[in-house]
Amino acid sequence: MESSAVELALEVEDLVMHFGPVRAVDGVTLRIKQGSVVALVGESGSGKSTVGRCIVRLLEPTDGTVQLAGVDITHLSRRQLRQHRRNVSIVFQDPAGSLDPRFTVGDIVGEPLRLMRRKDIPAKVREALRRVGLRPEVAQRAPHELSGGQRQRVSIARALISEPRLLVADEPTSALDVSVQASVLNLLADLQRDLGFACLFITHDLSAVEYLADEVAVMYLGQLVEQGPRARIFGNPSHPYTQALLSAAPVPDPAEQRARRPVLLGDDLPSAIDPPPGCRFHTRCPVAVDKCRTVVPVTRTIGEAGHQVACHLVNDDGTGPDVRPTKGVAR
Amino acid sequence: MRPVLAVKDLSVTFRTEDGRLSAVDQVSFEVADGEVLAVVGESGCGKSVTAMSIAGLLPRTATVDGSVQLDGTELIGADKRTLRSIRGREVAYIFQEPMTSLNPVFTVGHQISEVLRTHIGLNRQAAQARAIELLKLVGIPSAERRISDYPHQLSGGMRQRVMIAMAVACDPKVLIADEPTTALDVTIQAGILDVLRGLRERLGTSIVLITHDLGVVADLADRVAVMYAGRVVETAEVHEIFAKPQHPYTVGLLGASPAAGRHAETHRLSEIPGLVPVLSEQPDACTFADRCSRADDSCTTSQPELTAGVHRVACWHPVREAVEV
Repeated sequence: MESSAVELALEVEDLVMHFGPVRAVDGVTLRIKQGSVVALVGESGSGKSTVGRCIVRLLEPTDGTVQLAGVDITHLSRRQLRQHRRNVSIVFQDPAGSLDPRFTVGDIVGEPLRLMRRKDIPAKVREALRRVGLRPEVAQRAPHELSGGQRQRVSIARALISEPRLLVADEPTSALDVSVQASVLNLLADLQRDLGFACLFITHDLSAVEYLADEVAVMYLGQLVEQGPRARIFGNPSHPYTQALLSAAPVPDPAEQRARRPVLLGDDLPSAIDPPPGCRFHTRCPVAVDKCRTVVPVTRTIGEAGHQVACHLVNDDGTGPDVRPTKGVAR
Repeated sequence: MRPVLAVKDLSVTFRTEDGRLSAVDQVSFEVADGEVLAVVGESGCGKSVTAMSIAGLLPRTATVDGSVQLDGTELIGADKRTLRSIRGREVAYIFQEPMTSLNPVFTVGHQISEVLRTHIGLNRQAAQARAIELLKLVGIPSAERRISDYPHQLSGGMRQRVMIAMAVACDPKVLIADEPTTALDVTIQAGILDVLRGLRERLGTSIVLITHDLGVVADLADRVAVMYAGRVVETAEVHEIFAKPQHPYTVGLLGASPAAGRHAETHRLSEIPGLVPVLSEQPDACTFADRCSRADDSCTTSQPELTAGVHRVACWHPVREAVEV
């Protein structure tokens, strides 16, 4: 365990985050290898952003631990934490809201280095801007003078200037138009390949992460229901919720889209104040049986290495129910 | 056959502190009976302004020119009385955010009944009974009970279903759905798209679907109008536009849209360089010219008109060869 811990950029163990009665995150365990990209996917209210905020300690978790590059940061004092801050950065969904309008772009991008008392900051800022595809003159501008896509590039430049080992990207392209989104996704993919940082890519949009992620983790109502290698999750998802999520996202091809019919789950997402007993997905699951309503499913490894699922109905070899109507029902 | 909705040369400009801003320029399209027309484009392309101008929902700072005919009745410049009888009854709207369109202090039953009593003159009991039918039509379980709920007691998907029930209460000829699923999660969106499909099939309602999501277009539309910088740049039947897009912007938009299961091998989305122009004055040029790889002198000096026919494109150098998107 000692040696493997060193290779991990992030190790989240049994993370719990409650806001009063709201059980936003309820026992999430997640590991990211150095230089690897994990997509954390879920719908609104699944707790995915809360996980991200706990990792950078914008939130103090109720329970559980977060280790960055082998160091447990959950219980560090503010002063101790500062030394480890450079190891992790976060990019938010709304670049307009996360860039201080009173500062120039140059100030904003260089701020992490100033806090670390580094030298040659202007040169490093120019380099950081160049890396995200912005001209050096942009440093003199104010955030409001930039377009949404340019602002998100500024956020990325700022997040990466301290050369973090881990980047938490929380819906970085969700507020952007399709054509702009494409260029920001391509940029993140290029930077990740060139700089080799690990990345937790939080998103509700499965299609946006497919070509970025090495692994995919799917969250539902505060818990992970399935995680595994990208090809496995996209090609052969095991958990009924993952299957429903993938089938529900419409594909931009009329012939293909009309041939498939989504799994209709019903509109009512249960409350995180009083989550359903047993499997949390059982109230919307088309194949739930009695056991699902009473017994909490344990997360276990199935089939190939690294594929984990929390569902009673999935067999140890990875076979199990398929709720997608186009592919036939349970075997 | 006469179209249910005919928009011709519609232009909308706004008075702003920085002078006149042209939001929609010479937009024309038609919607046939029972047809779903998707109006597609990115933020600021004018798709929502086009939708709102149809039944006169724009603020006073807007100047609207051109013609919008609903079943032969001209709506642009129509008096308030005509518009009032048409809005909600002949043309109904669904907006992106149902919470801001529903009144929080009345039950959903009250709000649906109000529509029926105002427009059709049903009495209280008949309106209540019809409201329950409508909630069932849009797939709300235990409608008899749900009718006494307040909007805040419903989930986002349920609220949007209530909005649709209100919109179709008077059996409108045209339903304008402005980003109806954008605020919803995909598993909820799938249900709402199913409801809209059902309305078209069962009631024969024509739908103008305003969206930025090409997946939604592929799911529901019969025909597509692509808008860019206030203009319709291409319009065609849905299969045609996805298979053989002719305008370079349409080609770019299709290539930039990620789709699960399609990019695993390529590791790259196509990009459209540059930014959408701000249109203070519609120039005598193609508005896409400075972002377009096919542009030449003709594109920067004169504005291309939409061609005639079924597949119409406004471009001096349309893409005729097969493209990989």
